[in-house]
Amino acid sequence: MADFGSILLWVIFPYAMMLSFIFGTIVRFVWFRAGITAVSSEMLEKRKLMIGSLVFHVGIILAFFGHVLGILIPKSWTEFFGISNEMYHLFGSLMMGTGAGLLALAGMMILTYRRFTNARVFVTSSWTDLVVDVALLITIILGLASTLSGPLFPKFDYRETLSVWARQLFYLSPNWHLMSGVPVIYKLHVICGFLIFGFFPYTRLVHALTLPWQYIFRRYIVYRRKPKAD
Amino acid sequence: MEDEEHYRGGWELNSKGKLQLKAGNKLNKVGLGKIFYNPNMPELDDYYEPWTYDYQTLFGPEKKHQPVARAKSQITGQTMTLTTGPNWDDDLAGSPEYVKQDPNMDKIETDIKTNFEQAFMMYLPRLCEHCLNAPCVASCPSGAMYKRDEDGIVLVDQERCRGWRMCMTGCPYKKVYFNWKTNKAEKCTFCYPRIEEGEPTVCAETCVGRIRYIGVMLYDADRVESAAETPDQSKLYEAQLDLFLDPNDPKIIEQALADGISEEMIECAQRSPIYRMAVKEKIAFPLHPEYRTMPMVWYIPPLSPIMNYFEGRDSINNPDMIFPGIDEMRVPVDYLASLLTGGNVPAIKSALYKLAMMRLYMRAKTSGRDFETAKLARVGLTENTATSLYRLLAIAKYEDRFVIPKSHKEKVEDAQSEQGTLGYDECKGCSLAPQHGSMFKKAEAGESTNQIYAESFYGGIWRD
Amino acid sequence: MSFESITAQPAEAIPTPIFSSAKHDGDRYSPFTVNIDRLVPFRTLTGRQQFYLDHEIFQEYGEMLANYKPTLPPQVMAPGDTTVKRDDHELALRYMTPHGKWNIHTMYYDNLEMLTLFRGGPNVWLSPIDADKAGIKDNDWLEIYNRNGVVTARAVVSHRMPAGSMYMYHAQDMEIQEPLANITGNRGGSHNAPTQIHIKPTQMVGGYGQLSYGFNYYGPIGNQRDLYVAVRKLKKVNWNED
Repeated sequence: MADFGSILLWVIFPYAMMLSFIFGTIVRFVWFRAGITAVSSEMLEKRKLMIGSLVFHVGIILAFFGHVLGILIPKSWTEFFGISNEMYHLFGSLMMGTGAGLLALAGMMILTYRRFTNARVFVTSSWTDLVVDVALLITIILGLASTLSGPLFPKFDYRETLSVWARQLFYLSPNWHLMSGVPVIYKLHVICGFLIFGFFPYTRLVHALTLPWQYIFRRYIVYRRKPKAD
Repeated sequence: MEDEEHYRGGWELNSKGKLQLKAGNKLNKVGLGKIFYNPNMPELDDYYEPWTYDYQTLFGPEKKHQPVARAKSQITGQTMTLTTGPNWDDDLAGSPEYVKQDPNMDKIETDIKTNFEQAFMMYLPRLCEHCLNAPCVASCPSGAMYKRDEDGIVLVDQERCRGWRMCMTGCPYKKVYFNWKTNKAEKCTFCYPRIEEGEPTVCAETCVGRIRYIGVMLYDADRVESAAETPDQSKLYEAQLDLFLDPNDPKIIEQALADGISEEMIECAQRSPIYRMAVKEKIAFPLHPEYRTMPMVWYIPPLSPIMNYFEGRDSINNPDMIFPGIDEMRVPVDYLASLLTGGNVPAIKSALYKLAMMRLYMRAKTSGRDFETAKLARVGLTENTATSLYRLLAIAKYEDRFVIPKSHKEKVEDAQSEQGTLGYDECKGCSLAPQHGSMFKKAEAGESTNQIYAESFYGGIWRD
Repeated sequence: MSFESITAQPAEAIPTPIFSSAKHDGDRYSPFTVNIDRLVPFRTLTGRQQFYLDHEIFQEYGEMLANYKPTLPPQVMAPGDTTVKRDDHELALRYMTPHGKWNIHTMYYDNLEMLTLFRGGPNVWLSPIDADKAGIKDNDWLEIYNRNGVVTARAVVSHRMPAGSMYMYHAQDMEIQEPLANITGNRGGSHNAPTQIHIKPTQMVGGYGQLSYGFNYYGPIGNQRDLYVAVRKLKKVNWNED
């Protein structure tokens, strides 16, 4: 029975969320393209947004790249470059991770406070906006707690368990046994993270996928021409 | 909202003399955080918080006092104290406070006196300028804003708008708006479905004063950028004039036809009232050319502040008084120059001279007084052009004001199936001529024309 | 035409062929066009446009032609009226109720679009000179009264008003944004609260050419508006919505 629980949590659930992400993204971009916006509320409140949004976005982008590094890069690679495990954990994980996490947390706290207390912002929020805010806040807190609690579990090395499992997800052969020794707080963070991943395309978060990088290379004035009659 | 030093709309020249958006370059928007927070964007309170009234309270139960409907925010639903609105300073309302805040006044050296004796009113309808060098289009990171190749109308593609809000900052006229319900940008569409059918925009069609004119202008799109890079801002008006092409020039016609411009379009360009006023007579000017936007809604400066001043003095016996008057009245003229020519005062003056001269000539002509027609040549008019200009401006016949070619959409689209796909479909009662609907139904039900006529008309008067 | 259609968007109506726009060839309404275009005689004794009035009552009052009458001297309250305690900073201004910019007469103005086009509630215009005297700022609440009634409204201070006069545009009704007047403790009235009906003897003429009753042709002149009001700041803005 415990096995079934673990399989559900560490095999079925992650794939369900990933499929939901892919399915949702396709549906959103093919049939509901018009609904994709940044859902900006800057018009309604500006000052708290300035601090909250800037700090949060910087933090979350750093945290995102931190996750990419921590999960996708195998331990053997960093060791190959002569970075010891201690150094990696101290500088990479603990310092960089905590820094990014704190930025994201501070930003998210301001943004969530703003969303729930500013009357204009609150009444124009959809329920998914509210859920997204709270979910992000919880996930960030859990993530930060995991990073900070690292030294409490000296025997646990996520790069040998969690990261390996995460990479295996991409090879379609996840070994759920790897997750059995992972501390609860890490597990919760992973579950929350996948949840957000799962409902990502159905919420405002989808705007992150539409970063308009083409703008930098575009000419200023855009002309559009109707097809001409022959 | 008009202070673009604060809101950073429009263009400026960078250190190399190249055009750059005043709000910052492209990298700075997408790469460096402005996309998360746009410091130059106006807030709701810079516009106004939309309100409504709970009219239903007026039909409530009996109370001690007469019921009253108070303003409630359309956003939060809370009771509001109204302190600003879309037309808050209409007709010089609140002038002791608001005149001081007008940034156009700062550019004038003379002190502005706000007293009753010297008051004059001038209405400046500000709408989307559908610029040749549109900074809103240039600001849009998503590429959702575009200028239509066939008629130059600037639109927001609602499907592609991602709500990054750079257009609102980019437009120095602040004519792109953010819809706080859809979280997308919206703007004037220049009623493009009407324009495509050769009809004027609704604002132009319904203008009681017949002040709006619409016509075709041919211009050289390749030279727009270099014209907008003219260093001296008082020369920008002339630089833009220089972009317009003479539709009667055989070479231009040949090139236009080669570029696939229809003969109908060229023919309309030749009869264009705008070409006449802007290029031939030089009595119309762009709004704030110093923003380097190359705007395409041009304005004729009003003669009335000057005429009002002289009317009733000696203007009947000595109408020529107006000309030294135009020179004397620095405030209105400087103000107009700061609005319309980037400070080019002679251009405004010569337009005012011309309008005044036309007026004097027509007054003499209709009242049978003597008029030295040689005077017309001083302002570049002849008896014929003065009369026809008067006809265009004062009689303002519909067919003179609006010379719009059809776009002949039906040649490229299935017009039948497109019918009814634009506009509101959820709005009850918005369908065309609802009062005629019952008639169609009766006809469908098999009633004869005579029956319908007898039921719907009495004594030649329509009955609904 | 239905209620649904007129609330959705403006619609054309053709009320009567005589008074308004029985349009042909897209012509817009303009009065008396039918008399010129179709050579219908004007509804005067002579059938022509007429300025001179030869009726004996007009002759008696010396008003056969338009003539100037000075306004009445300023009077806000008359002897014998209820006494209202005067405020320290109180103005006496000529009170006028002109047509609104977007509406005439009692044309319904209290809809959201119209109210959004200006200040969203009752307002009165006065000059900065008068405003300074009473310490009034733009958008302050004012209480305006005379022997006929009280109205509360927000101040619009503008240099387009000559000193000594006040405008309250037509048809600002008391249902919208109207707080209680401090003087009466009841809701303030409409723009017509401080006005009263005067009947001028010359209006009693009837059945004499154009001096006959016709709906919207012949009505009282503006003499009932030749009056003054006292203007003061509204100390307490009390809505009493119960």
